[in-house]
Amino acid sequence: MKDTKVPSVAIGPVIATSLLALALATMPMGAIAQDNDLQGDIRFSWWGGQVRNDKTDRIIQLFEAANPGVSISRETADFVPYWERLTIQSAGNNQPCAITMQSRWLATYARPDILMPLDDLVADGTLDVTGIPDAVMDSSRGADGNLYMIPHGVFYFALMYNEQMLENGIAAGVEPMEWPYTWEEYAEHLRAIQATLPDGAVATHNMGREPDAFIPWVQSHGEKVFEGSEVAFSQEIAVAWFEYWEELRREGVTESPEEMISENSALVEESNLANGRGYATNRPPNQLGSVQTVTNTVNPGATINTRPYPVGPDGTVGMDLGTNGIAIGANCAAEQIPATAAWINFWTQNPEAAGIYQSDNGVVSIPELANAQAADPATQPTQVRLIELYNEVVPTANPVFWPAGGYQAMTDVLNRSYDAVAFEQLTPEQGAEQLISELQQQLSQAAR
Amino acid sequence: MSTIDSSNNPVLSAAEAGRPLRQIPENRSGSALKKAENRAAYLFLLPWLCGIVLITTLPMLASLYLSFTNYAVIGLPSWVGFDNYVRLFTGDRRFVASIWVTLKFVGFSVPLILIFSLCVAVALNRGLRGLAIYRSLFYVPSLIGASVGIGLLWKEVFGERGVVNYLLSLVGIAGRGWINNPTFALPSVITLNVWTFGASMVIFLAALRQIPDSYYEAASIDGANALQRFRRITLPLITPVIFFNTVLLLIGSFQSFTQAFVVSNGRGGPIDSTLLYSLYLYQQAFQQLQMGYASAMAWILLIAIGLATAVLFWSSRYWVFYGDR
Amino acid sequence: MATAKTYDPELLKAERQRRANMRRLKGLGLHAILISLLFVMLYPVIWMVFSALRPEAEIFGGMGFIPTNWTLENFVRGWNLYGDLTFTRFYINSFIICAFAIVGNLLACSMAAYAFARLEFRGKWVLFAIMLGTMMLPIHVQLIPQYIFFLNIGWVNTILPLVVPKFLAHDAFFIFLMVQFMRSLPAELEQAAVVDGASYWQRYWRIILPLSMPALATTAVFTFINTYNDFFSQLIYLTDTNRMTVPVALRLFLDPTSGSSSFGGLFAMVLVSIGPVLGFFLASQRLLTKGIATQGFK
Repeated sequence: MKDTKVPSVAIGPVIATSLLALALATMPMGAIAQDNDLQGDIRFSWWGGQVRNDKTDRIIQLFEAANPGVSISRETADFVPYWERLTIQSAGNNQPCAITMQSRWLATYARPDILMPLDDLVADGTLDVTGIPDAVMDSSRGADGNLYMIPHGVFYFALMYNEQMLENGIAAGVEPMEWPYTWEEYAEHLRAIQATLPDGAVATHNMGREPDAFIPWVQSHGEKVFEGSEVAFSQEIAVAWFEYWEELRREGVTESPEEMISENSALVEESNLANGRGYATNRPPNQLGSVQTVTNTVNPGATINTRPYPVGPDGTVGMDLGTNGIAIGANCAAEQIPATAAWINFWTQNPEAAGIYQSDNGVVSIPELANAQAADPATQPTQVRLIELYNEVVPTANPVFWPAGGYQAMTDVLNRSYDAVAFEQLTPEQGAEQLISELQQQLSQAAR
Repeated sequence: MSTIDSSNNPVLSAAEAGRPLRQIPENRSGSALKKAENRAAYLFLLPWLCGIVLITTLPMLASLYLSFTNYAVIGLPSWVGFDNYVRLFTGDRRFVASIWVTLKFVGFSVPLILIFSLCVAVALNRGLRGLAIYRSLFYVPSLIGASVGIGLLWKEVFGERGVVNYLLSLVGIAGRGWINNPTFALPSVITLNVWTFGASMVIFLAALRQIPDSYYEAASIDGANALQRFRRITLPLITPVIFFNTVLLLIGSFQSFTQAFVVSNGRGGPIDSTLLYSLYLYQQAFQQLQMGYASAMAWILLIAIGLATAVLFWSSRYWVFYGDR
Repeated sequence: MATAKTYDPELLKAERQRRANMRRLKGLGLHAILISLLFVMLYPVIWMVFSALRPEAEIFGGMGFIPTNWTLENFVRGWNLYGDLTFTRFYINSFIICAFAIVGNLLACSMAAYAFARLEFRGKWVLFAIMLGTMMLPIHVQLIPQYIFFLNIGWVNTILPLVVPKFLAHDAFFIFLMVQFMRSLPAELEQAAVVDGASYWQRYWRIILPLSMPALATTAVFTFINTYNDFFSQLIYLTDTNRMTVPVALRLFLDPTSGSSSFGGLFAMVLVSIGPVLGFFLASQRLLTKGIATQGFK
């Protein structure tokens, strides 16, 4: 018990700690690496909230019931962490077999060592793309021309407005307005409506900092947004954009800069539109249903509707389209490909699956399925409207080809540039200069 | 580094002086004891040393290497020498802006949290009825400070239609959206940070509980008032913990990220007014996928924090008093 | 430690009485101040409680602070996240990780802290500086190398990357915390043990650890909270929904790309998720306050 023991006794905790660590390391952890089963054990990842996760889960169960040999390991996250996780997984070459992908983010991942080029699988019939329009397929290609995902949903951007406020305005003498209206006509309309609105309400959300609105502006004026990984729009068009919103802001037709920023990130429930404090805004059309739900509680009797962005002075339509699809990880083992392809086919082609999903993440890419949904009396009216407007605008749309990091960079730089203009720290000219130079800098870095 | 200097440990200093302690065998010289102690110390440190070698060193060295590369995360890194460092100091105005924002953030947050948490801890250290409940409730903000709903809650306080503006409207002042105003966004982020002062408070409370009541009684009899008792007894006795909290708050605030992230929706806006250093680093790493650039930023930060901490340690010899001295 | 002067016991008694009276009076005022401070501080939390208890559509409608239609539906809908996935599973997953993390941190960090605080050894300065230095590099640049390392040893999609580091004292914060506490324990304590021939291990285990209870309890509480809230590591290391933990699941209520979000469910589940932490905190109160002062060491 004496001093000789001094050093040796201290070994006790060391061994104990090491043993615990070892015990943890060897503990069975369930299905870690059993996915080389020929029957097919694959990972599928997607982003979404509670409702979409539920639908996705039901479709997976349907698929698993039809294919008892296949089991799908589910990986879900909300939008921002979804991409962070995919990036980290890609850095370690540990991507899931089936990866939900979006055209706006595709360029970052569209390389043969991250995603599998799918043209061969389409050519030999392993992947079924029957009925998906060519234009939609084209938005799923990388800069190298390879097909990198099978698109299952098409999303577009549009304006949303409060019909009750419009009717009140018309009753007070505002002229009704039919699409196609130009940007100037739309601004005049907003000014006229503003005069008829109750106190504290604004005619429009200030969209100066938002790419979803800036892109139709650029394209409807006959310019391109990007050329490869170069900024292609002119400084004049950016200055004109900032001035367009600055005028409306000074006239009080749109909200304060502070509120503009908070509206930009506001969820449906907090938004001015849903709470009867705003006449028009630019929410994604798939939020129509929930805007209407909130409106029913806060402001019963009002209907929310959606309509396209204005057109250019010569009538050019500037609509952007995006697609969501499923890609296959380049690390997916050959024996997992059949199960993965079967799953993608099921997801994109199966009417029952489409019926469950109800165009939750973009209007279903096969027009027949979309029209069947619109015709189904069980479909919610807001969902029908989503598909109707889709059919109306798609023929004239002009999808942007996003370079690597492009959407991220555009959002970041446009936000900062217009904020500085709106808070009157930069003139529209300075703001436009900053927009183009910083955007170009980020694109060049991403392309290195 | 007075914290770890144990030359004033009587046992050890006695041994070092060669003064034989009772019952320690005659043949055990000071150096043998020292050797045994050395061995024991390393055995106690063994799990930590394993961790350093296996888990900590690799990512740290990897990030040091990456700081000299252009690494887009997807794809392989390519060596660029000091390019990232040169670009940071010569061509990046947002980097410079983020340093100023961070210095303001640290300069206000650390003292405010220290003072606030110490005051609440002292107030709660009076054998008050319901102490446990108070303490837990004051800790609640720290519990949800990092949780996902916090951005919404903060909007509910400092937003256009938040409670602050409601109160202002009662006295006839028209408020604004504080969190989205370039002038007021940073103060509201600092407020959020100070709001989660619970951890410091808990550590202060644990320290205050260690001060024997008899000290205060004796001082009272000597006619010391509450303020004097606090200055003469409480404050000197808890300097080690004040020091500890300061070091940790300093290290933590320099790397602070979550508060600005949730309030500005990950952007550090408006107009970079809440662009904390770590938030900019995160944007470079995970939004622009410039991991090499971000790694260079990380190592610059490590050096800056290291220097600040070293200064703090150096200064501690003048104001930190340990009980065993 | 003891004061040098001796005092008249009568005087001491009178003084104690006077102080007790003063205290009662001041106590009332203090309660009033603390309660109003708490109300201001907890306003957002109270707002969240009321929001969780009202129908979802009324949360942002400016329908007043206190709900008119009380409901528990948010809790029910939140708890059953979707399919057969409920928070029961997320809690089990989270608690398993927390339990290992606490044991690991208590053991490994206190051992390292004992060496730094109470032992003399070669290279101490350097190692201590390294220990502090590991806290100073932002986590974001370490994530990917760490991920690739754990991936290559086959630990991804297990809890190992989240708990094994704790057994290797990876959180320098807690080493530093315990060093600081152990350092302030009087040297005479160990001296007596040395005289009795106690080994280093016995000195650590029988003398220093029991006296470090407040530091250990603080470590346990902070470890629990940090691990319980550690969203990002759990997101990247536990990818399968069956392994999902509470913080990752909470994020699934708010997806900006979805047509709808579920605030009600989110607020309800954030509140429920504070429960265990608060419970753990309350339960460890006794330990937190059990310092030298209450053990009669003077």
